[in-house]
Amino acid sequence: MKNWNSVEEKWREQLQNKSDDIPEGLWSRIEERLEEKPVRRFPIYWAAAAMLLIAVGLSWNWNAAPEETRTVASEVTTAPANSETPLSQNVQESTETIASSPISTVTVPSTADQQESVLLSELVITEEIKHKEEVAAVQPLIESKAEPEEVVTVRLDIDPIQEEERPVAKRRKRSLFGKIVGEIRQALDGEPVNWQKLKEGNPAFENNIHNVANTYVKTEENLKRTLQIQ
Amino acid sequence: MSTRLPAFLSETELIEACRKNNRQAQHALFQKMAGKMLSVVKRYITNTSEAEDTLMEGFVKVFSKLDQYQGGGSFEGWIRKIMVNEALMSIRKNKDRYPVDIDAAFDVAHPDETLMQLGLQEIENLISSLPTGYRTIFNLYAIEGYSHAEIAQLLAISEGTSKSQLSRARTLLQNQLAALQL
Repeated sequence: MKNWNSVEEKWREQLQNKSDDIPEGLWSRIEERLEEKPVRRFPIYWAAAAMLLIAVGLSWNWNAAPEETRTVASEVTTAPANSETPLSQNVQESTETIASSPISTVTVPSTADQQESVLLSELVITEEIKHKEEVAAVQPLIESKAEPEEVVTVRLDIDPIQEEERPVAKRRKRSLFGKIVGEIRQALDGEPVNWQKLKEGNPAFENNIHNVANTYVKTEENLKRTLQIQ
Repeated sequence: MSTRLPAFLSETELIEACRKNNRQAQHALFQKMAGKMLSVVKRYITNTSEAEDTLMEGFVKVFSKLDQYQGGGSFEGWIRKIMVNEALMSIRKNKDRYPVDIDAAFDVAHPDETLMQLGLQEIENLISSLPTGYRTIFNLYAIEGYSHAEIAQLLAISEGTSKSQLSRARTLLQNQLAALQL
């Protein structure tokens, strides 16, 4: 009595080497398929890369001007020196810094007894720098050269220990990208976000927003055209 | 076809040339294997044009995945596996053809002696008369030699379903033979 396994084994042997006639034209169809190039999907990646570049570009423009004023603040900070050295000797005049700013009109004490008041005035300077950073950023450098008599750069010698103890909050200005991320986080936390404040202090940014919007619209149109989305 | 094909000395040489995208070598491989593979695909897909489309897709896959062939087993076996998978994918596109998930066992009578005497064409006709679900499992188990565990994995069904579908297929083959003899 045969069982199914033996029947199937016999069938398997018979079918194993069976070959059908190949229909004409099948190889041509395969050849066409082999010559097809893979679907190019880069337009989407290009669009994303373009948006990223624009964002980076805007961020760079946003920070370019304030960077210059920040160097002024760092120059006002000091190197260690002998406290007995008259401070007046360390005062240097220079035309490299900001003109017509309150920073430039500091009266420098000439005795060691008045060192404390110097420190205080330096603190005031730093604070003023922060407040005037954006104003100074838009003022042309040439202006400072036009009125050299009003320009004074103060290099102060302060004990480094005191320097460290100073409760100066050096807030680093965030880049535009950082600000946008901050706003998005704020929005995710459910807090109200004032998107308009992103452009404050930089009128050029408003134009850039329009540029970004135009780029977005054009990219979208291109994508629709490429992908033939109705 | 009048195209003169280069004589590839060995299968390894042919495979290597195909890997380098040598169109003549690919044509030679197609000529060598297409007939057998069409027979395999037709056991799963009875519609001729659908079977040819599946064969074409299978060969495109063979050429594109050739780097994955390690040379450990039979090359023909590797191609056959791709064709079977391609056929299963084609069947999967039509959900109504899918094997029903039934675990009920069927009592299968011993096979009729006549089944051992059948010719190649009769065997093919008998198998192709089975509904797609049963035919798929019968082909995978009885002809290709897959285990129930492998079939279960391939078709995303339980092993029990695979076993019961095989039993049902055997019963149907027996009944079909009786009908044909009438």
